[in-house]
Amino acid sequence: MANIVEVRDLSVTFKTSEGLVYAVSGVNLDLAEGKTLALIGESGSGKSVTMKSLMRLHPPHKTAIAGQITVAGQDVLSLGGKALGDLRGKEIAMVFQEPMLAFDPVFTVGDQIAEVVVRHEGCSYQAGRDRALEMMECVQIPSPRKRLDAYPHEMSGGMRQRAMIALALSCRPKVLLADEPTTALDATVQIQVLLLLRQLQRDLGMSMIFVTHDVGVAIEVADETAVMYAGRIIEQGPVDTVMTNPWHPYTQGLLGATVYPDMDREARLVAIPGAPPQLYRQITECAFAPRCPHAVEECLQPLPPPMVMGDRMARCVRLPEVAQLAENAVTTPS
Amino acid sequence: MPVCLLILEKIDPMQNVTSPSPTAPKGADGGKLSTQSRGYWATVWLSLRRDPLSIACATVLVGLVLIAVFAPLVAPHSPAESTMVNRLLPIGSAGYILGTDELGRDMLTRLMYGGRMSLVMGILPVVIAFGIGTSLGLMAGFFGGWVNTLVMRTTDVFFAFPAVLLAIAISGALGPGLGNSMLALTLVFIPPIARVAESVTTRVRMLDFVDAARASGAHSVTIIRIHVVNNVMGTVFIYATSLVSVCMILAAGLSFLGLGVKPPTPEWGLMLNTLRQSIYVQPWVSVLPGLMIFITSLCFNLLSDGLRGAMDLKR
Amino acid sequence: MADFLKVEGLQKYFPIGKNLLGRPKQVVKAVEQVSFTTERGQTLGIVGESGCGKSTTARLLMDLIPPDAGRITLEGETYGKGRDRKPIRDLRKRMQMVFQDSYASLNARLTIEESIAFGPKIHGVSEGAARAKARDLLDRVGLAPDNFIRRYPHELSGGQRQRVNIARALAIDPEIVILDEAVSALDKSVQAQVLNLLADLKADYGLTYLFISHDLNVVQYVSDRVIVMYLGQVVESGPAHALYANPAHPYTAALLSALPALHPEDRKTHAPLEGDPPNPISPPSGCRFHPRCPHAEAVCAEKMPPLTDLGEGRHVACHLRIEGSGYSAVRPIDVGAIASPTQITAPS
Repeated sequence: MANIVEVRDLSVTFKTSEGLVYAVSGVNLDLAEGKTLALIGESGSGKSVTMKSLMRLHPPHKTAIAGQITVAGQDVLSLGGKALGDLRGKEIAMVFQEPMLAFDPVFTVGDQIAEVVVRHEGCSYQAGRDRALEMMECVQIPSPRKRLDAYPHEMSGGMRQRAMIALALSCRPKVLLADEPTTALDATVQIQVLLLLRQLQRDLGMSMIFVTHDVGVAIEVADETAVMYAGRIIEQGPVDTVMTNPWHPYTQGLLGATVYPDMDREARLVAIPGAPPQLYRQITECAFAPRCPHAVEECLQPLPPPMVMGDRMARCVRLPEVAQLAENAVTTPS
Repeated sequence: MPVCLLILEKIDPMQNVTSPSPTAPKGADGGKLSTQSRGYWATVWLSLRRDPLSIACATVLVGLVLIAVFAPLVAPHSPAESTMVNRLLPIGSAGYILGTDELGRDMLTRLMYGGRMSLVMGILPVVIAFGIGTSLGLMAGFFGGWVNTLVMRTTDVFFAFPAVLLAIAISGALGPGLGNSMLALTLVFIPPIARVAESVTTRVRMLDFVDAARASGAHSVTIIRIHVVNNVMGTVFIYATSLVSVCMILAAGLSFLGLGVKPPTPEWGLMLNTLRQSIYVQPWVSVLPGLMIFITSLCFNLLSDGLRGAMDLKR
Repeated sequence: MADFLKVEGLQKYFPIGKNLLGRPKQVVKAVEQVSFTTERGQTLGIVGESGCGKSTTARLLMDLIPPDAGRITLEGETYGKGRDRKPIRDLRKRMQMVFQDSYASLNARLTIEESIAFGPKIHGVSEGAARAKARDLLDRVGLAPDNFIRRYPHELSGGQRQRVNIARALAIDPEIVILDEAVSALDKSVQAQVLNLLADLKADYGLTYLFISHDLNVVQYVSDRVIVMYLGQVVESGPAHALYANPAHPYTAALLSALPALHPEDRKTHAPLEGDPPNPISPPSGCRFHPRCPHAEAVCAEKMPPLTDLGEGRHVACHLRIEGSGYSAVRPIDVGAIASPTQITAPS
């Protein structure tokens, strides 16, 4: 199957008043057509930065991007202003965590969707409105015709997120990027939006990259998963095998630290000690080594290339042993 | 769980200082600084020191103040010494580098001496208004309710008039004179400072740490003193710095209208007034006092901009 | 055993907008007739979605917002409005709170030491003793005092700041600590550290926790008893294990089945509830949950179900479970069917 998104050796560096921040270093990603990839990581792991790079949303004068990004056959990093504008929304679109900030508060939701359609397809305003209505039905907003003329603040949180999805999908993008789209939502609404995204992805044959910090959310939506830590992908593979038999000690730790239902109250949580490293220097060794229970001397040497076995990959110096250790470990209840 | 043997450890401060947020390009985080700890003002100073424009402005202002203070020592002439033959000499005349005014007094000397009065009239009313206005704003913002209504509606009355008009009106009603014009300027600046202090206080009051302080049983006065004042002062201070330039211009205006300093006391605003008639004779000499006012207020404005940037600590 | 903390009829309506006569145009019924009890050394979990009034309840208990009505009994002493009652304010010596936003709940201009020592100093502890206490508590929450006392909040990570907030809350030796979404903003690995710390502190100091969270898994893990709130009201309460294993209220059941799967084979196929929680400004009539409830009948829209005792420490406010409520086919829940608690002691 063809890859709709290919990221090769992506590095993103930000210039800040405190110096350079190496937010993403050497990320490789492939997304097959019609698949969903969950990018899992904690705050500061570089997951959102990677995502925004796919659409080149970073402020150019403060950001240095190296590597290669191909989306739907186009080299994103070499595109000029006009071509980039065509790519955004048409080939690749994004759903944000906080739809209230993504919508312009002074225009109705319907007008904002119509405007995007007019911009990309050069059709009439009326055709844009028709498409907006169609999209609102598609994302299962009740009484969509009425909601077209609603302002963002007049909608509830879940409704706004649906409208945001409608806006993102209005030009039938091939790739949908979802940046923690359900984090701000209530539990009963979160599951509705997750199911909606899963269904739309299947029905429209889109590919989706889903950024989340929540392992459960990733399991709900994704086929593939990539776990990020300190700007690198440290483990990658099908979501069911990665989540049931994690190889990398960080993935193991993340699952161990997650509270699951009916957990024994006497049991202590398996906390990962310490906190993620600062990214003010380029970390060449394993960034997780200082917190890793399996770390040995050689973990402080420059990190070897990723170890690929079958459909899975992990970046750990002690990989075969560590994965073996986890072989019989019960990390999630099943 | 083999991975799971680690229990919470005492945390090594070096590895643990972090949680950077590179998702935001300007997420400077302050974390890099934190291997050693600095006070808030030390951090502000450090950040200000790296801003060449602010440093240049501060240098100019310090220079102006020093010259004004030591005017008797550095001035080439006496400010009152006038020779009618040397009236309105151009810039660069022998013995009178910046020329002379309409009474033949040395411009350089008078600009140096004039700085004394102008700087005092620009700064002192703002300092006093800062004290009074901040207190009023703090009370109004922290206690809310009728206290807020009383203070803020009273300041609204003052806002009904343009600042210049208000200064002239008060000054005119009190009669000419240095003290009266300073009082007028102070009264003009209390309402805007109180308003800024009130809005900042209202915002700070909503923050969780004020609730946390209340929850530990602290009384309002203690909370204001320890938790609110230092969080409000910064912003108000920046605002007040920017008012100094306005105050200088207003003070110059009052003197210009004859409501402030009386001749022959050198004062930039007054000098600008008296040289007005000579503008066709010696245009460059005539604009010198205006230029001084302009430079000083510009420096105060730029410095307050720099301060605003430096005091804005990101998470 | 007598109840350690007993809250009865706590109520708060927020007026929105006022007309010319100073009368409110609308009210938000943020907290309505909330009652619960908890025993010493136990953790009471309060769960619910945004706008359900769980945080407002916490602020009412601390008198950060004055309640409209309600009384609080702590070890036989009654606090609240009215004669023979102590002001709720006096509870502050015995009850402390940790907030969600670790940054906003610390004064950015004070050092960590000053922030922690503030509380004791208010209560008349000398400067030196308060500072010593701050050092001791920092050590207790896992931050080496020598490295941290002189730091400022912006120099710390989120997890470290939340530890400081916990130390600050403990500084005046409270018996009850309200944790208002105290671990919700933290990353999972750090959240686990803080949860472990909270369990340790609870055992060491014999604390009673009110643990407010939207995260059902975490609430189940930490709580002895749980109350579920919906639009300002308690809809269900009971021992954590029983309530999770056999929820009596349809809303509790929906919340539980809305949790994302932890195994790909258990992926959800449908959402348990449609739509969003309604606006608390104009809550639905009768049972506030009825517009979203899969079991709703006419009676649900007419009558508000009272919180009814089911036995075994469980209460529910649902016509479906109450005999004689007028519901067509009342299905009483068999509270005895759940095995008695295997462990009710605090995790150590």
